[in-house]
Amino acid sequence: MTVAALKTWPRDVVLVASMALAELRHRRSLLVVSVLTVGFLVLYGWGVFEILPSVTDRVGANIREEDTKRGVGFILLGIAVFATFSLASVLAVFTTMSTVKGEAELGLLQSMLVRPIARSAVVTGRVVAATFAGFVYCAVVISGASLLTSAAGGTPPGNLPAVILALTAALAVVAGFGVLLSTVFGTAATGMATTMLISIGFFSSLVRQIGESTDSPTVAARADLVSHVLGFNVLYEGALGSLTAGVAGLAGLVIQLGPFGTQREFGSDLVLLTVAELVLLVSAATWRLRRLDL
Amino acid sequence: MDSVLVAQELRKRYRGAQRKGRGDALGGVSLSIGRGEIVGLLGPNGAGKSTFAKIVCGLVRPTAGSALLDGHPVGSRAAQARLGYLAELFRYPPWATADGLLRTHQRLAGADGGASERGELLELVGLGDAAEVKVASMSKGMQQRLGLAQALVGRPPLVLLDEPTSALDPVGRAHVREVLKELRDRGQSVLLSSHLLPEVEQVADRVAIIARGRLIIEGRPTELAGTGGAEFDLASGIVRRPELRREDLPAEVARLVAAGEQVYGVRELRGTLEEAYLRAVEEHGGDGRPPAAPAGGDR
Ligand SMILES: Nc1ncnc2c1ncn2[C@@H]1O[C@H](COP(=O)(O)OP(=O)(O)OP(=O)(O)O)[C@@H](O)[C@H]1O
Ligand SMILES: [Mg+2]
Repeated sequence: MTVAALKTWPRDVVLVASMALAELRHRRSLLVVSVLTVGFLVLYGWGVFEILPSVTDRVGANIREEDTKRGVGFILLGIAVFATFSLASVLAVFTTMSTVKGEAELGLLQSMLVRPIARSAVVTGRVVAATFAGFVYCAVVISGASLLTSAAGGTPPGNLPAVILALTAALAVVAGFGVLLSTVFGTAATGMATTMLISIGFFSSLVRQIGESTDSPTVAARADLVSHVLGFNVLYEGALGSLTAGVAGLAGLVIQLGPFGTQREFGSDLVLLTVAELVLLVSAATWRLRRLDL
Repeated sequence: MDSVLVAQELRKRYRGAQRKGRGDALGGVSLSIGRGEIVGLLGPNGAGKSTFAKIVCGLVRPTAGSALLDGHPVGSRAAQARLGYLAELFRYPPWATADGLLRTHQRLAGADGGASERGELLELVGLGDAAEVKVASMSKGMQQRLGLAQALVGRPPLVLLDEPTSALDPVGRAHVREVLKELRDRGQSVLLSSHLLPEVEQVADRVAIIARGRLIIEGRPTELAGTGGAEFDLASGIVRRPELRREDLPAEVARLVAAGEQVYGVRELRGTLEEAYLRAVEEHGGDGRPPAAPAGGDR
C-alpha cells in the first residue's frame, strides 16, 4: 500500500460503511429489527416485573432477600445478554452475507470495485457498518434491559459499558466471518453458514461445560479451542462476565451455572483476541476478493 | 498518437476453464486506444469482449500480458481513478435516486464536480427531468442511461462501455452516439463493445474484431468495410459486380460499351462493416462457440 493509499484508506472505509448503513436503512431492515426488539423489551419488562418483586416469597427465607434479588436479577440480565446477542447477530449476518459474491452476482458490486477504492476498504467497510449497527443495537437493548431490571428491584450490571463493548466485539467477529464467507458463497449459503457457525459457537461452549463438569479435560480443552477460534463466543462470555464484574458471592455463582455459557473476564486478552480475529478475517476476505474474477 | 490504453498480449484463462474443456477466454490480445478515440470492440458471443473490458477496469485478473492506462497498470488505484465503466449486466440499488447514485459515485471516484456535474450528466444522457426518480421505478432503458452517466462521473480519460445501448430505443441509441461524439470532442476515449454494427460503424474511429479470444482484424470502419463492388444499369437489367473496385470502373464501362452494351448508369457500392465482420469472423471460424481447449477438450 502506498502512502497516498494509506491516507485515503480510512475515508474509503467510512464511505463503504456509510453505503452499507444506507442500504440497511433503505431495506427497512432497521424498522423490522426495531419493532421486534421493542416486542422483546416489552416481554422482558413484563417478565422482570412479574418475577423480581415476589422472588423472595418463592425462594424461601434462608437466603438474604437482597442476595436473592440480585442473583435472580443477574440471571434475567444474562437472558437479556443472550437474547441481544442472538438478535444482533441476525443483524450482523444480514448486513454482511451478500458483501461480495451475492452483490457481484446481482451486478451491484462491480460499479463500486472499478472505482479507486482499496479492496481491503470494501471488506473492512462492511465489517465496520455491521459493527456500528451492532453497537447501537446492543447499547439500546442492554441499557433498556438493565433499566427495567433495576426498576423491578434488581441490581444493574457490574460494568454496563464493558457488557456492551464485549457484545459489540462479538458482533464484529460475526460480521468478519460473514464477509469472509461471502467471498466464497452466495447470499443464502453465506447467511446459513454464518448462522450455523454461531450455533457451533454456543455448542462448543456447552461441550466445554460438560467436559469440565464430567472431568474430561481433553474434551473441555478442545471445545475451548473451538470457542477461541470462533472468537465471538468467547467474547459473548466476556459480556456475561462483565455483567457480574465486581459483584461478589452468590450472584456470580448463579450466572456461572446458568444455561447460556460460562462467564469470562472481558480484559485485554479478549480485546487482543478480537483484534487478531478481525485482522485475520478481513485479510483473508481481502485476499479472496483480490483473486476473484468478477 | 498519444495512447490512453496500451494492452499487450492480454491473456485470460478463467479458473476451471481447462477442466471444462474450454481454452483461453482471451488468447493474447494487444490493443491500444488513442486519446479522444472511439474504438469499437466487436465479436461473436463469448469472443472475449467483456473479458477484455473487465481486465482493463480491474475486475478480472489477466493470466498473462500487461495493460497500462495512462502509464498505470490496470487494476491499480491510479488506473481505476482514470476510467469509467458501464457493465454489460449491472444493477443499482433500487432505492437510489438518479442524483443520489451519481453523488455516491462522485464520492467513490473522488470527483469534485458537485451538483452541477450531476445535473449536466443527467441532462447529457436525457435524464434531466429524472434526477429524483428512484432506480426501482426506472425502465431498463432509463437505468442504462443512468449507467452511462455514472460511467462519465469525474470525466475519466477512458470510458469502457459494454453494450451500453442494448436496452435503448432507436432514438436513445442515436442520442448515445451523440454523447460519444461529444466525449471524443472533449478528448475522452471510449471503448465501445457492441453487437450493433451499423451503430459502431457510425461512431467508431477504429474497430477491433475479436473472435475466440483473438484479435482478428483492426482498422477504420470505412477501411474494413471497403467497397462493395459496383452496379451497372444495362439494357438487360441491373448487373452487380461485387469484385470491382472504384479504380476498375472506367475500364469496365469502356469494355461494356465496346462489347455493344447500352450503359444507362454505374453506381459504386459501399461495403458495410457488417459484411466485413461476417467475412472476417467466418474466415476465423469464430462462430460464437466457446473456444475448444487444445487437447482433450471434447469431454
Ligand atoms: N467469470 C467467468 N468464469 C469462467 N468463464 C468465463 C467467465 N466470464 C466469461 N467466461 C468465458 O469466457 C469467454 C469469453 O466471455 P466474454 O463474456 O468475455 O464474451 P463476450 O465477447 O463479452 O460475449 P457476449 O457478446 O456474449 O457478451 C466465454 O467462453 C465465457 O464462457
Ligand atoms: Mg460481453
